[in-house]
Formats: sequence, C-alpha cells, structure tokens
Amino acid sequence: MRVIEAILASFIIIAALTFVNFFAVNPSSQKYETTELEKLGYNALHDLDLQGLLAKFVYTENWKNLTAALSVVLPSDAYFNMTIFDLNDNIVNDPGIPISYGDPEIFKNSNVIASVTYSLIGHLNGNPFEYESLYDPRILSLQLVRG
Amino acid sequence: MRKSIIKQKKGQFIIIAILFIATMIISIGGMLYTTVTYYKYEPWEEYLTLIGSIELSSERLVELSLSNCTHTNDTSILRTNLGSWQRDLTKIYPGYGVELDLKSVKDPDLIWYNPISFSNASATFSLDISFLGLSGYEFTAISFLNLTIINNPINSSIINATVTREAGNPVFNLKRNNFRLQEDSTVNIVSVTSRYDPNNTLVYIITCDGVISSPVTLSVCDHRGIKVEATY
Repeated sequence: MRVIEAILASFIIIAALTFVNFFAVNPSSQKYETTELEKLGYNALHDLDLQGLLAKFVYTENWKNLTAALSVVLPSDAYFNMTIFDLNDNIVNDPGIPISYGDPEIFKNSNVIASVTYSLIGHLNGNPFEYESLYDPRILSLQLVRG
Repeated sequence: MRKSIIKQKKGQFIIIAILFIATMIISIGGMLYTTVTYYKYEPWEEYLTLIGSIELSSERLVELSLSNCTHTNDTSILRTNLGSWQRDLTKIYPGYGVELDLKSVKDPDLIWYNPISFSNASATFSLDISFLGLSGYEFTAISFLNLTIINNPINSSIINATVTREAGNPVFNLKRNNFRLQEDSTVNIVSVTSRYDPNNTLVYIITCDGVISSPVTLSVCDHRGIKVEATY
C-alpha cells in the first residue's frame, strides 16, 4: 500500500538531486592545472633558494647547472622556460644557453601555461670573513606547461 | 478502519521525511554552489605564492644587510637596503599594487667581545596588495647569530663553543674556515669538530696548536655571511 508513497518519495529525491546538479559548477580543469603548475614552480624555486643553489647559479651565471637543478626538482612531464631580468627589465641570462626543458612548440601551442615570478635580493661574494654582500635584485620568470 | 488511518499516517510521515531530506539536499547544494564558485574565482594559491615570495625576500634582505654590517660596521645599510627594496618591489611585481611599509626597524646590533656574543637585526613590515584587496598584512623578518664560548679556554688548547641562529636553532656544518682567532693570537686553529650535547644541542670543539695563555677572541662567520666575535 505504500508503493505510491515510495514512488512519490523517489520522485522528490530525484527532483532534488536534479535541481542541485543543475546549479553545480565544477571548476574548470584548466584553472586548476594552472594553479597546480604555479604551485609546483614556486615550490621548486623555493626549495632551490633554501638550499642556496638558486642565488649561487643565478649570480655566477651558471645557466647549465640552473637548468639541470630545475630539471631535477620539477617532474619530468613539466616543461619549463626561465628568463632572468634585472630591475631595468634587461634579460640577464645568455640567450645562447636557454634555461629550458621540453619542446619549445608546446609553449606556443598549449592553452595552459603557468607563470611564476620569483625574486632574488642579492648575493654574497668571496669566502667567509671576506664576504661582500651586495643588494642586486634579480627577477626570475618561470613558465611551465605539461608535456 | 483504525489500521487504515495508521497506515495513511505512516505514508504521510514518509512523504514529510522525504521532503525534509530533499530540502536538506537543496540547501547543501546551495552552500556547495557558493563555496565552489567563490573558490573558482579566487586564485588563493597565487596569492599565497606572491605573499610568501615577498616575505622570504624581505627576510633575505635583513640577512644580507646584517651580513654586510658585520663586515663593514655600516649600521645604516639595513635602512638603505629596505628603502631600495620598497621602491623595487613595484618593479618586480608590476600591476599588483604592492606597497611594503616599515612598521619598525631594529638596526644591526653587534654585541661582541663577550663570552656570549651575537649579531642581530630585524624589521617589521606591513604589506598591502591592492590587486588582491590585501591590506595590513604584518610580518617580521629577524636575522640573528649567537656565538657562545662555553668553557674557559685559558691554559687549554681547546675552545668549546655553540653557534645558534633565530629561535635558538643550532647552525650546522660549520668548518674550520668558518672560525678564526684574532690576528694577534699566539695560537692557530688546527681543527674544528662537533659533538651533540644534551644542554647545548651542538657544540663545536675548536682545537688550537698550543695552549691559550691570555684572553682569546674567536670569530665565526656562518653560511649567510653573518659574523660574530666572542672573547673569553
């Protein structure tokens, strides 16, 4: 005798779920992908900075080692391209030795490119007790895409 | 007749219960909708990245300035560098409306030539980022290095010392070239080793090539370039 009630109840539940589903907004995967890549890039730079490697490679202009270090700390499917500027927007890194990994075409064709800006304040020159501390900021612009 | 009424009431109860459940589902759906759409348009990670980057760079600036001061005795260097950093931030993050105010600055303080000596500097900042609607985010950057000679080294060839940084954390991996005795000292450092100690966590054992006969001044320079000189 409660079949009608059960059917009505089912209709109400289905109607409620349909109504909620109609308004559900799922964040686009592109947005999350960009955020994830930005987080990845920032963490990689932050780790290298904490280890003292980032400033060392940037200020000694050791671009090959910087590329190798980034390749190690970033996942193999994350392609990157880094450009380093001084405060006058001059590119500091040698264009002949690109700080990049992966196919350059992907950067042109991908819809999801994450960009991270990281700053370095300055550096130490010399050995202990003969250090020279210089305020000389560098702006690191890291672009990331999934390969 | 009574049974039929009870059954009808049970049926009504089911309908009412289901209506309540449906109302709950719709309410939760509404809340989820608000949460998801709010999160969608607020790139929190990007904000945290930006704020974290500015905070870390500011800390590095205080470190760099203290390091500079301990080598040059220029106590104004921190304020000079902070002024430059405030100005340059707008170039580094254009379009964000970044404004870094100085709430307070503690110029480099070099308390040296005691058995417990230290170098110290700090600055408190207030960060505004108009693009994010962020206003008055305060943080403090502290740079500190302490050198303590824990034994009386006179008539001995060994100096036991602790080296600590912010929050009393020990400084690891200091080698022989990170320590130095004053230039007119009659003895030289032969080796530097370390041992763990229940009271001081990490103790550096500085072995000299002779017996120390007069008050000695020991210097340490850590990996950040910050120097301290202690006398016993």
